[in-house]
Amino acid sequence: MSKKNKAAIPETEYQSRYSAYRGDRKEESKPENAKGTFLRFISLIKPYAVPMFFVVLTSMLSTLCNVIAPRFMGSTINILQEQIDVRLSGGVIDFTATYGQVKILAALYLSASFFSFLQEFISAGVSQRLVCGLRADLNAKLSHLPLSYYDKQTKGQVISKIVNDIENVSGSLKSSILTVMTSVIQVVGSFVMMCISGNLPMTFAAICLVPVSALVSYKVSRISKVWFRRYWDTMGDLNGHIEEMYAGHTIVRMFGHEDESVKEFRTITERLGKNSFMANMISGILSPVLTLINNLNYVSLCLLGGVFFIGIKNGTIPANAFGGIGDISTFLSYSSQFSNPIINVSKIINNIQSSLASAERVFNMLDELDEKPDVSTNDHKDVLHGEVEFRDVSFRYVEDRPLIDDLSFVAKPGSITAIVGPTGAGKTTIVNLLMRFYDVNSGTITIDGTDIYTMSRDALRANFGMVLQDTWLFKGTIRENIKYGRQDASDEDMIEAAKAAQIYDYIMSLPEGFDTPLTEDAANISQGQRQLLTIARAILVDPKVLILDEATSSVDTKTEQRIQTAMNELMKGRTSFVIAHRLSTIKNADNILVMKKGAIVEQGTHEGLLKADGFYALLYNSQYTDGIPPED
Amino acid sequence: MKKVLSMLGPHKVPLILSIFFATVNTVMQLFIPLYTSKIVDEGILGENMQRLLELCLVMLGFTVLSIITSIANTYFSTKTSVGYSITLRNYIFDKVSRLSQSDIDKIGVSSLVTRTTNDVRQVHDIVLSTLKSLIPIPIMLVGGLAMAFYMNPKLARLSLLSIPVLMVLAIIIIAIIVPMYSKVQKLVDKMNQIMREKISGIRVIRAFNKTQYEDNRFADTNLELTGLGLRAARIMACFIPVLTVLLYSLICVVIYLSVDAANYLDVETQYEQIRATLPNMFAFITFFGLIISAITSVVSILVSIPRAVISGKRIKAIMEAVSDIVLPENPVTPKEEDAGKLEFSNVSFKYKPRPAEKKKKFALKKKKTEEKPQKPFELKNISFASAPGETTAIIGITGSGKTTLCNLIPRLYDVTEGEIKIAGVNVKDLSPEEIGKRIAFIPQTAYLFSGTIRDNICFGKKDATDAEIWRALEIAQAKSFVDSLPDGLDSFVSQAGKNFSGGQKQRLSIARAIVKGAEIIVFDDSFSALDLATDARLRASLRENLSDVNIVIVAQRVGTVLNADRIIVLDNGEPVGMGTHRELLESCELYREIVVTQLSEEALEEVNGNE
Repeated sequence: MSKKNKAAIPETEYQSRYSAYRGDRKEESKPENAKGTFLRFISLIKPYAVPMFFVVLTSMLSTLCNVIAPRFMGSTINILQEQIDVRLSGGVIDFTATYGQVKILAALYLSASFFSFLQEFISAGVSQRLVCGLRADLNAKLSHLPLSYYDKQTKGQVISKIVNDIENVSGSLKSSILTVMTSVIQVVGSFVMMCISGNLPMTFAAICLVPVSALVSYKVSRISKVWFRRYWDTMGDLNGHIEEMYAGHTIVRMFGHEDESVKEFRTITERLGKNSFMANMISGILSPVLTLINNLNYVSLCLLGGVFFIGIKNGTIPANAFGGIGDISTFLSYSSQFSNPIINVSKIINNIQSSLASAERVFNMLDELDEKPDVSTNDHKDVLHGEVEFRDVSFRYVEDRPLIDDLSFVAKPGSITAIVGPTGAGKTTIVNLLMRFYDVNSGTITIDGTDIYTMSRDALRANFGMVLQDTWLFKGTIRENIKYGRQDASDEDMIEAAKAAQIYDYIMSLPEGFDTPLTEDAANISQGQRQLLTIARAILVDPKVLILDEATSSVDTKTEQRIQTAMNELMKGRTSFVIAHRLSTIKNADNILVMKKGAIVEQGTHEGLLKADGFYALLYNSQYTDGIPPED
Repeated sequence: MKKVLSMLGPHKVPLILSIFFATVNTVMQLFIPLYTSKIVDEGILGENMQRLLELCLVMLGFTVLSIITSIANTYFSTKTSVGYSITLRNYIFDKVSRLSQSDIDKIGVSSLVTRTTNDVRQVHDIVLSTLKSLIPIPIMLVGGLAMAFYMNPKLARLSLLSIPVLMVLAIIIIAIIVPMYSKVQKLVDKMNQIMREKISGIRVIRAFNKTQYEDNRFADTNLELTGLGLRAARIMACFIPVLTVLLYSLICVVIYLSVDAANYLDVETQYEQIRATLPNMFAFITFFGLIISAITSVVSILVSIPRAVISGKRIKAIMEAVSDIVLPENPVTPKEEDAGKLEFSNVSFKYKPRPAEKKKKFALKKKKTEEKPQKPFELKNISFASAPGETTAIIGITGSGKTTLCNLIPRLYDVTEGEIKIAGVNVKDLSPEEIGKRIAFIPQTAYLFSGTIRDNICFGKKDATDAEIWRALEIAQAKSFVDSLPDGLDSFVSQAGKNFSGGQKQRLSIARAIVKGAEIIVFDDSFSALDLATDARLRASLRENLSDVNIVIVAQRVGTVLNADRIIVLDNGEPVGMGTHRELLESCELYREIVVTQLSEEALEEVNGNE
């Protein structure tokens, strides 16, 4: 939007330009309460206490086997060396001396493998079920969240929480926890085994560089974390830019904005590239650096072991200080068992950080307040007459901004009530309250004299058929979409509904008829056709009360009139509410509520209101004459 | 996938360097077992302190070299993969910017965004880990074997035994595990779609009491995914332990045979060889250790490949999307005196058949590939000409092609037959810049960008002054509400203009078009969210202030088109009437029907009476 040159832009300018995209993402960049989140993360495992116990047990056993094994490996090699010395002095190598050691070794390695298999097997079950449960929890949450939650969040954010965050958590849950756990066991175990061996200089050589590795890992991961965070922030900027440019594609093209947009995109990708490079490079260096430290260890152990070995042979070192060449191999194994876990943990520290951040976002969503539970499970679905009454209803979406105040009206059974008024007058809000998408702040709404708050939401909503401004259709065939409200409907009924909604001819003109698939957001049919399909869907449900909220705003008036004729037939004896800008739509209403700023300013029939020559008359006449009403 | 990978082209140099250093690094690593064996052999067992020290230093040297090459590999592979993802993203974005709206709709905006961000990241990750971890593996195997043969051909032949084992494992991975993970990926996609629909349709779902149904639909997929994920994870759980056991057994056999071999050697003549038995063994054990850790990391990379392949396919679909619009090679500059003219001559249009057929290639049912019937014409034989200062209105029933007609003017689609001339030149011969300069377009759904109101209005004219902006806002009837905002023109507009009402958005998008000062302005039903009073005021002010502009206007309300110079009535894409309001009342049955549905009897009489 704003002009800029191609050169890299200063940090501050960049930050201020893209802060817009980040408005809602502040909390996401970093787990704020890492400890609390971690504890809660752990508490998720509670229901799986028994399998988890076995996971811990088997991983301990497997690590233990791995920790003990090098000792026997060492002694086997010592024996072999002796045997080779025998051979060198003319004897014959006798393997029987090693059998005992080899048997133990085989047993150790086999059980290590077996236990690690068990551990993987059980923990796979735990992690899959855990994530399955988490997904189900979030899904259930979605079903119970009040609509106000959806109004506050953008679709993209909610979807991203469910899709990306859960995946992120599930991806590293198992590997992170298990890696940390086995690493700790391995480090402690190797340390203990080295101490038991009693060779203090070798032990010291094996572990002296470990603090260095730990320090290096810590430092590097701190630096790389900063770059990773910058990377994710820029990724968010990129997302924001792309989303806007793709969604506003026609505008971008028509206003010749492609070059600007591409230039802007380049700026962000350059920056993303830089951040991504730094993050990957720094964290990528960690592994070679740790390997270097590790290899230093390796060499120093070889050297030290050699010194011991030669020293013993020369007699300069007492023979009991060192067992033989096999001990070098033992210590080499321990040294790698000691440092590998540290390398592994340092590698996954970033994963743990990011999965904790994701877990926190998931938890935040799970902690959102649910809709108020139904007061009763009273399922008397059959509303006989359909008389709707609003009595002294007050409501506001935002605390300090009253929207509807003391609203009262009655819709008689079988009548058509139209609601008109300028944008923001509260027309849709009335529908939201009636459907209990939102709950009133005060006052009562009744159907046939029953307070809707004493009914369950399901029972209440079962009485309504509703066509909304927002024409939501899902990816599936036209048939599936029309039958959405009543899946057991026969094809005859479906065709009747399609005919009533004036969409039948169109559907039949399509090569695949009712089996025509609709794409994402039903982008393959026109806005008006989408509205007609949603009307057919509502008609098929055959509701007691029909609500049309700007249902035909993109349909031409002729089609609309035909729909109305069909609808009038259908609506005989049923109550209906119609919200429309187009006043021709509502001329036939039994009662017209004229709303302005949350209050009903006029009420009556079309003729009556015209005669009264008030706000409605002004609105109505502006449609045809050149008379220009003043702004309000 | 090949096409997606071909974008690696510009990054050949770092790519090759990265492979080079990976190779060098692997070779360096192979020297470590060799020198371990030498240290043990010549240094320790040879009881030669001097030699031991020397060899340790050489080994240290190799270690340092191997680290340096490893860092170089990291540097170049990161450079390659990052550069690659930038190239890929830029390519996609440029490509999408040039696509027509219908191409974008085919894929869907949300999917396009995911493809540009997440899918590219998947491909980036796999390129990075391939360069860092996958490429060294074959080198390690081949080099390791070569080294083994060099050290001890007899033992090396034994280690060839590991090859069939590795082959079997590779087959297991490719035949069982990879397909499993690609199935998992498909289920994840399905689940995302269910979630997406659930969130965007929340009101409808609740209104139809379908929460339970949606929950079941979700639960089914969730369970299926969990089951499959579990099976895949469990196969993987067997994989590593079995592999370890196999390789350890192999080590045992090698040790036994190599030590046993010493029994058949002659002590006198082959003394040295016997003595070297143990050092060689050391080298082999280290070598096998390298193989085990290499294979473990291969498995983890292979498992993530299906995901990257799916991402690659999605990216490829964008790369292969053919833009319907072919730009002119020699754009024509219109003559000055023709400015503002618009002419349709015999324009017909139908959508091109969707190239979705290709996808069905993999479907088992061959029946489906039967040729689809031809799509019907959306527009047929439209002809009219309009000059600056005139208003052309288009009216018609739903699906009659009004929006399509509008979209043809700025060449969002190409006509199938006939031609459209802007300023006397066929739109196909005009450069996109020229079209953009001459036409302002206001689509059905107003779309605003995040930023300030000023940013949004200036979209039309980058250097617009405040006075120009205010004038445009005033004409668009948006001045009073912008005035009442605390920050005025600098008020923040959130993404897609969410913080403004539908009517406000429409007025701002009209102002954006007005400020552009175009010769032709196309309003595609852009008053639908306005209440009638505002609609009337807006129309009056447009007529007053844009007297020299050629206006094309689509409307549902007869009131909006009443005073147009020319009203085109569309029915099923065909013009069934053209003329002024009064002419059409006389001559056009459909127009009369539309009018009757909107005007009260009295108003109708009034209109007729005026004649």
